[in-house]
Amino acid sequence: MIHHLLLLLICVLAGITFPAPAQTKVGIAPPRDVDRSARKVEQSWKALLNVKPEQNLLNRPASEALGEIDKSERMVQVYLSQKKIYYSLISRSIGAYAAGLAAETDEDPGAARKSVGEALDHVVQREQSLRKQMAAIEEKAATDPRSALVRSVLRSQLQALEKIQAETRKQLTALDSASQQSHEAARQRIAAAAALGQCAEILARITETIDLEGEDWAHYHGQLRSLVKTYSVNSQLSPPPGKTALQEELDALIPPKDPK
Amino acid sequence: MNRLLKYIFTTVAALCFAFSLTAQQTEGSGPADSQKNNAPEVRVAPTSDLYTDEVRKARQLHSQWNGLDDELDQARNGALLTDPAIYKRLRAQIDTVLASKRVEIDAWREYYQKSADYWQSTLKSLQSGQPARNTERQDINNMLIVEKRDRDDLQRRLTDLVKTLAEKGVTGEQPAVTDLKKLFALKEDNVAKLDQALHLFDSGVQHLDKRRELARSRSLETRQLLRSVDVERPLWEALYSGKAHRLDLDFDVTIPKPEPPPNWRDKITPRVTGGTQ
Repeated sequence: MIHHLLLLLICVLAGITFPAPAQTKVGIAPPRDVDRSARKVEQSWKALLNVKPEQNLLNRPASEALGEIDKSERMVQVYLSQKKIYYSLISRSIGAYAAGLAAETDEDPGAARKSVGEALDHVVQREQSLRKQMAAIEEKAATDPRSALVRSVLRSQLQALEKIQAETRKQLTALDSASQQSHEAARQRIAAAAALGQCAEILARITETIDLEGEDWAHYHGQLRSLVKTYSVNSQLSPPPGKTALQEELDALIPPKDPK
Repeated sequence: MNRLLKYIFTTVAALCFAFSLTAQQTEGSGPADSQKNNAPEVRVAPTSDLYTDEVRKARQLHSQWNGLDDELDQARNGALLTDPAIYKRLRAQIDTVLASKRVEIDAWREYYQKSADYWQSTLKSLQSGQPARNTERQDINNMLIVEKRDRDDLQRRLTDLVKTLAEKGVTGEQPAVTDLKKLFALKEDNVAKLDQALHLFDSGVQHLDKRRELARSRSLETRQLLRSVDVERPLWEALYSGKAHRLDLDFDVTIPKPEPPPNWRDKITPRVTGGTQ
């Protein structure tokens, strides 16, 4: 009794320590991981929405503008890294399913069809032999009661053979159709695997561009910093020479103040 | 001591088994692996005879039956129709041939059963995978929404930047504006790619739907084959019963009447008389 309990305990412990996968066919990423990742993307997106460094970029103190740019850069990097995980989980899940699908097979009853075809030939041979036996006894059966009895037995055998033949033909037709359907099913499976595989590849490529996007964002933020250093209101650097078109337009609208 | 060894062996075996399951589960899902986004290598497997052993067995049994049936015909044709020993031998031969046919039918049944189970399980797998496909489609759609949202935000950033530059009178296209436009173009490209991915996914699911219908049809047809084999069985029994009957006629054997059931009086008499007779 104690031995059985010990064995049970070992099995339970093994089950707890190494739980078996619940659904191995769906894909590598269980849905809850994707959902959790999607929530993180949303959180980082909402945080990023509150940062708008471009608004009044050059009309506020440089330190404030630079601070906003730094914040934007940090938020963008967090957002992109979360997005990369999210996209990666989706593309891998679909890719794994496509690969699994491609590696599957569709059962084809080719060998069975051949064997049943041979079996049908054997049934047909026996039927022909039985018909010959009946033909041989036919004349005698008209006068001899024993031969008539044999003929009736042969007839019942023939009926059985005819039905067997009909069933075998039915099986052969079903196997022919099954073989065609198997090939069609394989065609559909391969097409599905190809389409889903291409889909996963596109998603993977988009995921790969996130790193480049990060570099572009970093460059962009660097350019924003340069703009601030060049044109901001408190910038130590000299403003650009001459008036801009907008300034000239404003000057025309507002008359200059009397120096007196 | 032996028992202790037995427990140690069982524990190690159980842990190894569970570990192999975990290894299979976590294979390719490690942190380093999750960073790889390369599409998995696709090995395409077409149709195949999955149950060749079963078919081979059925075929061998059929050949065996065919040989025995031929032997029976030959033995019957050349037999001396008055020898009771020959009659007995031929009757035994008929029983052997029928038994051989029964074994063959069982083998075919086993094959068709496996085939039916295969298609039933394929159908189930395709049906149970439908919700996962719906979720995956929603995931791709979410990616599309995210990319479109990013694109719109870039548009907003671009407008703000151009405005602030205009307010400050900064002329000429600034590198920051060029960067934003580049990012905007990337988003446009991603949106187009995701549209294409969604289209491919839908096409893949359509193919899966067709395969599911074919699996359903194959499952039904294989069950019909099973029924057909079951129909065949009594027909063969009838055929060999006819052969036996003919043999009886050929040897002029009177078929013995079945024994009448024992008289109930004979059974209870000893009890009534107390077994003293």
